[in-house]
Amino acid sequence: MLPPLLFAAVFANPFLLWGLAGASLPIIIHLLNKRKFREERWAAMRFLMAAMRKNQKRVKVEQWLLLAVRTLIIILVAMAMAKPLLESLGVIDILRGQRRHWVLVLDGSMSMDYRPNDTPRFDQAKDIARRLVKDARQGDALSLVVMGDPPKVIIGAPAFNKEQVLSELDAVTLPHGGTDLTATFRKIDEVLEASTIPRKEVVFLTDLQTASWRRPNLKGNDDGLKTILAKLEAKKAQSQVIDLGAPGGKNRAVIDLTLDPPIVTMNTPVVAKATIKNFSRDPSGTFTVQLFLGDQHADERTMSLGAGAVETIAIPFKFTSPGTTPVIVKLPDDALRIDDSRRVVASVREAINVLIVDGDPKREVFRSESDFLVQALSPDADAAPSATSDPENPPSAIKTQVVPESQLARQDLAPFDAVVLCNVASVSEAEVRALDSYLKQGGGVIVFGGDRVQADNYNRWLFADGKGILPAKIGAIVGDPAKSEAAFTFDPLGFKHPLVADFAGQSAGVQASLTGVKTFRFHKLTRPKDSAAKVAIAFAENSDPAVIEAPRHRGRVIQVATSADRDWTSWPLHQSYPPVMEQMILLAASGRFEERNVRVGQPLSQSFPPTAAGADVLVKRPGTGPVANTKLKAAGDVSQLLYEETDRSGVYSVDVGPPPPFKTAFAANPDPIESDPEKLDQAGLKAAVPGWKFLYDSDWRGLDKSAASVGQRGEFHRPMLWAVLILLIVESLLAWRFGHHR
Amino acid sequence: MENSPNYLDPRILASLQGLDLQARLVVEGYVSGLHKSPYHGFSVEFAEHREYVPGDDIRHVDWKVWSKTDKYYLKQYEEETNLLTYLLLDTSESMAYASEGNVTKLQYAQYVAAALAYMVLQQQDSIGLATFDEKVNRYLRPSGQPSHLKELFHLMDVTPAGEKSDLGLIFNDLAERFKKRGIVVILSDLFDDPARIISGLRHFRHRRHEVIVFHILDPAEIDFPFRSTTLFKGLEGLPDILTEPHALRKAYQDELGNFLAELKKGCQMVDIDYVPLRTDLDLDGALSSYLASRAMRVR
Repeated sequence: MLPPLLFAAVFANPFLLWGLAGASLPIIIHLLNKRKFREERWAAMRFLMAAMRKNQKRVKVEQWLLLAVRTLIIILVAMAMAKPLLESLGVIDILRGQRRHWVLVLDGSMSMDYRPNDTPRFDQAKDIARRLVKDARQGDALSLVVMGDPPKVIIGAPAFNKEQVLSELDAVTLPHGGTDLTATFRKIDEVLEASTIPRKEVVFLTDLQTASWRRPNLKGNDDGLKTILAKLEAKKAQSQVIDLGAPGGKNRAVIDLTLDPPIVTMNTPVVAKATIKNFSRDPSGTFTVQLFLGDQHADERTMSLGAGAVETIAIPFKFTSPGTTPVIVKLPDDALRIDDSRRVVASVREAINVLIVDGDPKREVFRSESDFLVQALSPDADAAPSATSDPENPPSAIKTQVVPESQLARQDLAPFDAVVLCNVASVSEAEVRALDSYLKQGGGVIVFGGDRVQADNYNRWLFADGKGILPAKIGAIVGDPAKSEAAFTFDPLGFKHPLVADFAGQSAGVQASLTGVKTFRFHKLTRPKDSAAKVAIAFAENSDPAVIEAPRHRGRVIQVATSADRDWTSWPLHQSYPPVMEQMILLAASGRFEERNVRVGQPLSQSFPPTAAGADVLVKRPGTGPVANTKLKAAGDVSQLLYEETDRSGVYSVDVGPPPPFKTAFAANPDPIESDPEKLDQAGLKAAVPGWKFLYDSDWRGLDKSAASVGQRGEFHRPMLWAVLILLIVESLLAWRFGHHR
Repeated sequence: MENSPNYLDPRILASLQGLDLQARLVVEGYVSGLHKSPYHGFSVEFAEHREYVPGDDIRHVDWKVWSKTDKYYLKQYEEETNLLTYLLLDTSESMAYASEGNVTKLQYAQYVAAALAYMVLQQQDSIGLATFDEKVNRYLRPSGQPSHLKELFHLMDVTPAGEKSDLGLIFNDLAERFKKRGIVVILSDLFDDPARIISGLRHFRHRRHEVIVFHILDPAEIDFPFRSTTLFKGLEGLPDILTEPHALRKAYQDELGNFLAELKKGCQMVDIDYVPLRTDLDLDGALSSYLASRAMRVR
């Protein structure tokens, strides 16, 4: 084994070591001087000889000393220019290993957009990162990771070209999402895994926002994080946290925005409900909340919030034209601007289209299975006054189309927002497939029972042992219409379900319009165990489900145990029938509207009919971002739009096709948790990420100093230059003393 | 006369041809400035005039008086007998040294010797000359004849060669040769062992000679002003030395200083006038020293 080097160093600019050749200059000059001399015939030689004899040694020593000093000066200058980096000094190991692999981790959570002055913290982080890159030594490798949800590895494989790293660094923009600590550490571990350089340094540039570093979901992933931290520890990766944040940050944010009702049609009143929170420890003062429909200013309100207060403000408005319209609520800019606005995309329809499949059509009025339902949903159809037609709450513009059972297979379901099966005897496999595909595209399916329903067929194709469309298995028919006194009544289960929630708190008379419904017969519905389906209404007498609601794919399925007409129940005759039916349609169709609003980081996805597979998709990102091109992909019995780069908040407009030409938009909003400016300190970070060993540096303002302390350990060209200065003085003194005082 | 050149300056003197002219200019230059000199009154020892009687040597007739008065008078001097002065001129190789802008030590010595000879003969005294390097090369017996001057100048005018062997021996040799008492004037750089030099000089004193040592050195030999690397080529058979002179300057000057101090001390002990001369200085210093010494001798 080799003995340890007494002094081991590497050089940042080794090619400048050619300057060492200059060290021979004083020696050459010395030798040339020896060759180039004047001659003097000298008489007083005996004295000179005596002086020589006595001083020869001293003169030689002086000459060598001067020569040594001059040579040393040049050597030191040449070495200082080559930027030496001390690796070890005897047994003291200063750098361990020859090169380092730097992993720069930029906190990419939305809170990094916080601007204590005009510069966002993310830009400050980039500045420090740039400095670190520039200060990295020759031979050091660099990687770049943006800590986010999901984390992004900008440069994974160790990069040695600083220019390339710098240009990548310049191109990094701040995502508007949160962070996933475990995933970030996993990515860092993967990056380190790929590098063969033994010395590993991970530098986190973060504001240490509490929400980023202490996620409530951490508990679930804690073991995963522990495992990864242990892996990092095993790799001897050294972590350093540069804290860019400052306590006591102020922020005001729109943390929620909903439209009521969620499904909107033209000229119907809509209420935008914006929830605004003041995260500061001081009252906010009065500010204006503005509502925009697309680019157009629609309305505004003023409000003020106390310290830490949350308030929901309601602004009513109407859509006057159909189409996809972003509804935006804006606050005045504060230090964190991203969360000062929030938006939802409303797909404004002229009407909600409902396909009603009538399993028992009849010519006589109100004899068909669907007649009451059509009347309840579209009372305008024959201008009959309806219980719900008051000016304050006009009926939803629901358009119905009734087809017989035989037409179902041939019907294109795409134009409809909901499909209602009323007492349909049986379904074919193809029909089930069409319905399932329709559900995947966000459609809603409502299934009513009736005497024609073949339970076996339903259970085989629609229930399919719990894997099918229906949330419950259809059992035997309960009750006897002949015995009206033995009828069943509805139990609204405390009006908790959205279908009946409007009845909550209403007068007893209004509630009685629901609870007074008498049902003579119904299918016994049995939900599988651990079913996600919810019972909206049950039968009071035996607690059997009357109305079950369940999500399926992107859509919703509502299963009703009894019939849609009055064959089995008196419900169509009650005042509660139209509003509940309307709610049922809205709820079933809501799948079509919900998916337009996502959180930053979640993918934009929408299903289209399978025929559209391969169509071009153009996604225009928020702001002046680039346009992304993609295609609809076939996925089973639908074609799928999937766009995952939703790292910025704002409106993403999507053009699909042709064919079929289709325009839509999505809204991505930041996670409100990121709006909270509360931050951790060193101790807090230790507690938040237990078992993680890190160096902590909060003095980022001395950017040079901080970067230097991170990147320049072991550098000693500055002391060398000081030594040169001292040697220059020493040389002058020696030359003066040797030359003049002897 | 104000603008006439200062012929006491050896560098100006060097531009003139002929030692006789040079000697005359030096002495005249010196005498013309004598009224300021503390040695006033020592130049001429004329006593009185006496009327000529037949049988007197007509050489002593004062023709100037005759030309004015038409009478014959003889000049009578205080001491009829000649004062003897021996000039000892070092012509060894080391005397050939001259630093830039200066005359050689030998030239300087020649000026001094010539001027002294001229002055001595003007005073009707006798003067002799010996030149030496490793040995006594030439020797001219003392004489008071004005024609002697030419011979002296001719003898002085030599090129330096040879090395000094032992000044002590040479001085002893000469001390034996000078039978009659007189003033011994030594013109040399004395680059030899001081103890031996002193012992030689002591011999002159023993013979009751007055001794004046004109120690002639070049300013460069005293100041050692060299800076760059220099190859010093040894004269008189000494080896060459290549060195950084600035590094040795102090040591050299110490050595030289010790040598000079020893010489001076040795001379004082035996009552010898020791006169250090630099070849860049005027010649009057040498003449003054001589006259002072002669005055003491006469009394």
